[in-house]
This record gives sequence, structure tokens and C-alpha cells, in this order.
Amino acid sequence: MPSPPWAQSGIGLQTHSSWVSLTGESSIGTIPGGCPSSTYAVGEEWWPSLLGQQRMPAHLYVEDRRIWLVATECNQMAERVCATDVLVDVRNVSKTFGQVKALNAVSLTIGANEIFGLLGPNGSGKTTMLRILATLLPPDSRSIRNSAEKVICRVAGHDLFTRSDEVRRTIGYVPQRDCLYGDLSAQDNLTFFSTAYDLADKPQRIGQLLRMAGLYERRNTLVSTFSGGMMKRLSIMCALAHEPPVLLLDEATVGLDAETRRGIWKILEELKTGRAIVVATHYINEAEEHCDRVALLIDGKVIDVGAPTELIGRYPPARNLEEAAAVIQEVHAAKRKNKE
Amino acid sequence: MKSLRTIARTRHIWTATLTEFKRIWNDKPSFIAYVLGGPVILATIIGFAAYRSPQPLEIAVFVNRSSPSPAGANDSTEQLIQDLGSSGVLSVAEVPSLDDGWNRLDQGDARAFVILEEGATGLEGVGVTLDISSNPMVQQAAYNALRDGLEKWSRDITFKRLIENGVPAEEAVQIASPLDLEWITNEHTHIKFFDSYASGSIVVVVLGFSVLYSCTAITSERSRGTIERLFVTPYTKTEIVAGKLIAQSVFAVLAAMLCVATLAIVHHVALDNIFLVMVIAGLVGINGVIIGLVISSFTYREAQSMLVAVVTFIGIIFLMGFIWPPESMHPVAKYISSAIPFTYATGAIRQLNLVGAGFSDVWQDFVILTGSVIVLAALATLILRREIR
Repeated sequence: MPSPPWAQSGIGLQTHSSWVSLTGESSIGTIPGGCPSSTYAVGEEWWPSLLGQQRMPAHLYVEDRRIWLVATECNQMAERVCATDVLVDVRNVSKTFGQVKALNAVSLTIGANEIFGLLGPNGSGKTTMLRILATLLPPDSRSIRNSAEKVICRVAGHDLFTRSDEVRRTIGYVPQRDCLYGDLSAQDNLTFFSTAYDLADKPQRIGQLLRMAGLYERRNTLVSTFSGGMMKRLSIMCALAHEPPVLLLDEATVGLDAETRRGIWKILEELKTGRAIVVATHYINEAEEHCDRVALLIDGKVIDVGAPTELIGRYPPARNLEEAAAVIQEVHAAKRKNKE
Repeated sequence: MKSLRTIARTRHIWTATLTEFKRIWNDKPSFIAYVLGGPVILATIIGFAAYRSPQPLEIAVFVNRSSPSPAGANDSTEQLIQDLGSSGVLSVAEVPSLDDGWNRLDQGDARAFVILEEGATGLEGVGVTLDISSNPMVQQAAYNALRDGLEKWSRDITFKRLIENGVPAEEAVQIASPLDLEWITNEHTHIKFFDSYASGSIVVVVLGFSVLYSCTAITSERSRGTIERLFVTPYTKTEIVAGKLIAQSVFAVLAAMLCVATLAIVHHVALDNIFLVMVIAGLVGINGVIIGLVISSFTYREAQSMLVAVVTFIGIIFLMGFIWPPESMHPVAKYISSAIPFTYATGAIRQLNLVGAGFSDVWQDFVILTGSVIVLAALATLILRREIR
């Protein structure tokens, strides 16, 4: 295949006929060649360029919104290119508690502008995954058994193994419980959590968050007097004080009534622009409705990943995500039984 | 860059302190129980409960009546024995011979042996065996009672002897002087028996409240889940521990001051240097808070924290020289006792309260108490794991 002429310099991707910059605001959805985000371009050859100087042919896999550069000599470049849009990059991450393997070589890539659902039965590893991303649990050692199993865990471009302090500045975490100080007012809670980020316009930002949560009028009320929905809204706002590019939510809507749940999802959809929102949830129907992509975890392994409509299509005769998840679980259970 | 980081850290600690302060303040029932009610009520109760404690020390008295003595000397001696017995400090038994007295002392039936001589040519000798108690404060109280009694006794007998020799009563009163006794202990004259216990009580009450209150400071955040959110923020472990330590220490110092004031006002405990006593009590409170935080750093449930705190608290009371003096302890226990900062606090408060010591006498105890706060704070920060399971 003849080398194409280099159109421009900069970080970008060179095709036979065109060159597209991947710096700045470029998104994976507008990848060269006009690949729509939901189509595959597996194995197609591209010529990535870095500053218009290197010419290294590599296989670029575009699956949904994920980019993978497979040629080993291009790994470094791939990470740099991907860093513009991929906010959560997890590869071969495991976590063991004693004899229990809570996560088993999990790989996930989550980009900006998407709500990513982590689905799975109890004990499947959803919360463990979130806690690893939130720096609350260290993943198992990044020891490499062989080069193909390199352990990578990056959040917003920061290596979780070595730069956990930077990771903390780029994530917002909403735990399963509301985790607020009931003996403080809504404003005091926001003040306390936002001070950690040394915001320049803290009072303004706090006012803005209180308004967004619909709690401005009750900003001086003790949180212990709030309803479940109010607490959850405030809990999300506490995680958003520093406008993090990655928002992690553990069972964001559990224990809330239907209307409040809808309200929470509405807030999340408003927040997803420029952000990766990762939601662990039991409510599969909600994930189908609101998540751009979901991953199904069983026994600490990612069984399948994709947009809800794709997953439904992959597991006939499933008509919705809940049925698809049931099929996946059945297949997995059968496989496990056969193994045993 | 470094100075910016320092400013940010200071701001973080300040916010964490203010937040913790507000939380304690907003939790009114706990605040009232911890700062206002508890220490005052406990100090009052301890004062009344230990008012006559410990029981009077047993002493044996031998009166040598073999030599001629002035008329009425016998009555004076009887009066002395009666006075000593009713002092509330000493329980007196007269023994028939010197040997009997020494035997009683050797066998532990008596803790002091007093020999009285009603000599023909005056008071020929008054011997007091000094093995009253290994606790210097109790010794002091017993000495005071003995001294007062013996001085009165010697004055009475001298007076009677002068009358017998024809000296007019008015003149005899002028001449009669008490014995020139030499006492090894200090000259503090206002010690009540409870006072030596009151000193230790300050440490016990302040330490108890501060340890038991702060031992759940981090554990309660674990059980409520707020620690999960806190660990995800850029707040460092040092900032988290420092915020809690400073805020809770303010209340601990306030509780310590109330405790000391209660003992002084309700029980009229002899307090020679109330300011220094309050400062040491405050340091005890801060040490208690940081011990609670250490416990809270490695325990995961509130019940677990309370259990560890109670065991620690009781262990400290046993070993800090409040109940049993360090010199009577097993060598291992004595060694541990010397490593507990509260042993020094108890000693310092006793010295300040009872012996009239000043800062120059207790500065080393100050250094130890301050140093232990720094060491324990570092330990709490090290132990606290930024991990949620």
C-alpha cells in the first residue's frame, strides 16, 4: 500500500485520502473516514501520525466509540491519541480479596460524552470496579505475566497506580449510600467537600450547585431532615463541585421512588457533555433507557459490552436489555457448569 | 509553589476543623453530655464518693510510762490517741510494748509506729516510724495529722509540767512550746484527705471523656459512609486527622477546665496553681483525643472502637499511678507505666495541687505530654488506611 502524502502536521490520523486532527475538541464520533460510532472498522489500515513526522502503519480498531491501536510499536502513540477522548482506560485489572477474585482481568474503555452502565448481579464486582476507579481500592499488582496482559488503569489520562492524587482531582464519586454529614447543612456539606479542590470561585460554584439540585432555598437546613431524593441530589452535587471529567456513581437511584429516579437520570443526562459518567446499577431497564453503553459483569468478569440495542440484538430472542442480561447469565452459568 | 501548597493545606485543615467543630456543636445532646454535663457530674460524684476514702491508716502507738511523768500527762496522751483516732486519717491502737509495736509493723497490721515518751525531765523522745504509705500524698496527709496531734500533746504535757513546778498558769501558757519536730515532707498545711485522690480524678475524668468521645470519630464516618467520599477528595490523611484533633481538642480542653473548676468549687480541693493544673488537664484531654483517634484509625465498627477504648482507658487507669503507686508495681508494669504520658500528668497535677510545685518542677511533664500528642498524631495518620472494603 503506497504511503499517502501527509496533509498536515499535528496529532491526528492519516487515511489514504484525508487527515483528521485529534487534538483539542475532536471527538471519537467524528473519526476519519466518517465511521459512525456504532459501526466497526476492524482491521482497516490507517496511518497515524504524530506531529506529522512519524509514519508508522498500524491497525486501528474502531469499535463503537473505542479506539485501539494494536501494533505494539504504536502503543505509546495510541495512548496519546486516545487520551483526548478516552477518560477511563482499564485493561486486565484484577482484584482479589483473600481467596475471592472480585475482579478478573477486566478491560473497559469509556469515552467522554457517554453514560456507561455497569450491570450485574450482586457480588459481580461492580462496586469493586468503581472503588478501584475512585482510588478507594488498589487493583492487584500490575505485574505482567506476559506482554499481552499488561495491566493498565488510567483515569482521565492519569495512571491510577502512580498518580492517584491526580486521579482524585479528576473524579467525582457518589457512593451507594448518601454519605453526607447529616449534622451539617447542605451548604456546609458542599463547602467542606469543595474546599478540598481549592476552587477560585467557591461561593459562586456552591450557589450554582445548590440551584442545580433545587436545594438553594433549603441550603441552611440540616441534611438529616432531607428526603432521600434531596439527599441523593445533594450527594451528586458534592461530587461535582470541581467539575470533574469523570463521574462515578454507585447505585445512584436505589431506594428512590420512580419520579425521583427519573429526576436523577435527567441530571445525569444534562451532565454527560464532556464527561464520562460511570453508573453501577441494578435497574437494567433504567440502564437500557439512559446509558449509552453498558458492560455486564458476572463473577468479576466483563461478559459483554456494547450499546443496549446492540446487546439486545446479540442475544435473540431477547426483546429488551433485561432479557438479554438473563440470556447472558444463563449462558455463563451453563459454561461454568460445563467447566466444573 | 511550596508556599501555595502550604496555604492550601492550611485552608484544608482549617475547613476540616471548622466542619468537625460545627458537627459537634450541632449535635447538641452529645455536646452537652461531653463538654458540659459529663465532666461536671462525674467530678462531683467522684468527690462525694471518695470523700472519706481511703480508710484511715492503721498506726500503733507505744507510750513509755516507765519513767516518772508529770501529773495529768497520762490524760494528755490518752487525748492524743483519741484525737489521732478521730482525725479520719489514722486508726490508732495502743500497744503494750516496743516489741509488740515493731511486730505489728513487720506483719503489716500497722502501717506506722509512734513511740511516745513522757519523761521525768520533759519529753525525752518521740519516735515516729515513717513507713506509712508509699504514696507521698497519703504520707503527707498522715504526717499532718500526726504533727498536729503531737504538737498539741507536747504542748499540753509541757504546760502541766510547768504548773507542777509552780509556774503560774498565765506564764506557763507563754512558755509552753510544742516539740521541735523535724518532718521530712513539705510544709503544705491545707491538704484534705480527698485531695490526693482529686488530682488523679481530674486525669481519669478528662481522659475518659476525651478517649470515649473521639474513639468513634473516624469509625462513625466509616459506618455512615462519609469517609468513602472523603477519601476520594484530595484531602490528605494528615489534614483529616488534624481537623478532627484540633476541633475535638477545643472541647476536651473546655471539659478539662470544667472538671477542675468543679473539684475546686464543689469539693474545695486544694489547688495551689489552678492555671497550671488546668493546662495539664487540657493536655490530658488532647492526649485522650489523639488516643481515641488512633483507636478510630484501625477499628472498623463503632462497637469495636468503644471496646478497644474502654480496655485502653481502664488499662491506663491501672498503670498511671492513680490506684496503685508505680513503685509498688511489677517491674514490667512499672516500665509500661513510665511510658504512659498520663502517669506524668497524674504526678504533675499532684505536685501542683498538693505540694505547691511550680512550672519549674513540672516542665518535664509538660514536654512529655506535648511530645506524646505529636507522636500519637503521627501514628494515627500512619495507621489510617485510605482504603474502603
